[in-house]
Amino acid sequence: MLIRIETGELIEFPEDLAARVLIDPFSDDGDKPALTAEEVNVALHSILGTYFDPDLSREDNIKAVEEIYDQFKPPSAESLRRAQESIRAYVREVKEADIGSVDSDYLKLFSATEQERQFAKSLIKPNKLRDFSDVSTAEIADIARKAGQEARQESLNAGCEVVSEDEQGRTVTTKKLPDGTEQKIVKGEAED
Amino acid sequence: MAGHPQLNQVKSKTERVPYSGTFFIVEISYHNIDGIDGYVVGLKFYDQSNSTDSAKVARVHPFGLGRIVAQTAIKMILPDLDQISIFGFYLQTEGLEARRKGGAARKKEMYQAKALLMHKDVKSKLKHLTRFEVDGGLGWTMSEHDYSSYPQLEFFERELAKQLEVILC
Repeated sequence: MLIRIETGELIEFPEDLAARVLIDPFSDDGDKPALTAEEVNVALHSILGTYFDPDLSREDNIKAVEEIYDQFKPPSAESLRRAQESIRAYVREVKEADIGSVDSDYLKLFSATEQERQFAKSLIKPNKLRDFSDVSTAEIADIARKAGQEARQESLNAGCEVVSEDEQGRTVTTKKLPDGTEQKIVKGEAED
Repeated sequence: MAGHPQLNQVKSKTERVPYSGTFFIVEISYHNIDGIDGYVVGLKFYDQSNSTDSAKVARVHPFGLGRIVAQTAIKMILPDLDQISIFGFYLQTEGLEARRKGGAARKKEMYQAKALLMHKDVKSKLKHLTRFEVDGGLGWTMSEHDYSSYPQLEFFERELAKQLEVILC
């Protein structure tokens, strides 16, 4: 029988072992109904998807699954018969394109409660730094210019002298006067 | 179990795990419980996003989801394994049928697979793998000693307010 692994590839998996995986090793109760083909599709892929190591070969993965179930006592003949019946339904009814795929309702089972969601949100840091490759040069220049203007204004408000270079390349010292106006002194002119 | 005053939580670790366009949160909490030498460690994981609440049903491939969560949890606890006496997690099955038909059984299968996979990595220290069943849910523990031999078992039972059925493998 075929199962679909993480890469999307279909691989051959032993039917007897698949049947064993479907039987709960903790509670081999004999009166459960056989699973439908779609239930087997979901169950097998979520269980085997948990066990399968993408770095191991198919054979080694199968061996690892066998080792997990060999820890437990063998299932009853009745459980095995029912699980094999479920596997046959899967082989017969699940189309190749649907092997390993389930409706997204399945993931809803893992949705967080509102409390968990709030906690998860708190893990995302606000003002997260963006990657430089996501920001254009013009945007970076704009951010730098705004930051410079803010720094200049704060310095002036704090009574500091701000030294800058004007468009003609002259050194200009700016100071805020008590009446709120800005006094600019151009270095060359002041010396004159 | 987190939140109960007798389960003195001493620290916790959280990882965000990307999976299929969303993130899963894996949360490990460490508790000091009177009479137990090492930490009692609990695991929780859940989807972070709202995306799965969408009414639109798409086809997804869940292959690998259980593994990524189990491996993340194991990586988080292995450095402390020497100081851990009990490691476990709980599945509340109430309400799952409303989210999806057969939901309780499907989620239980994946949780159990995770328990079996994780036990392989911790059984050198936490030999005993136990599943306990209670009304409204079930849990898996990996413990240094036979889980049913802990005097604190009564406390765990009371805390869960349910009858405990211990099945050893």
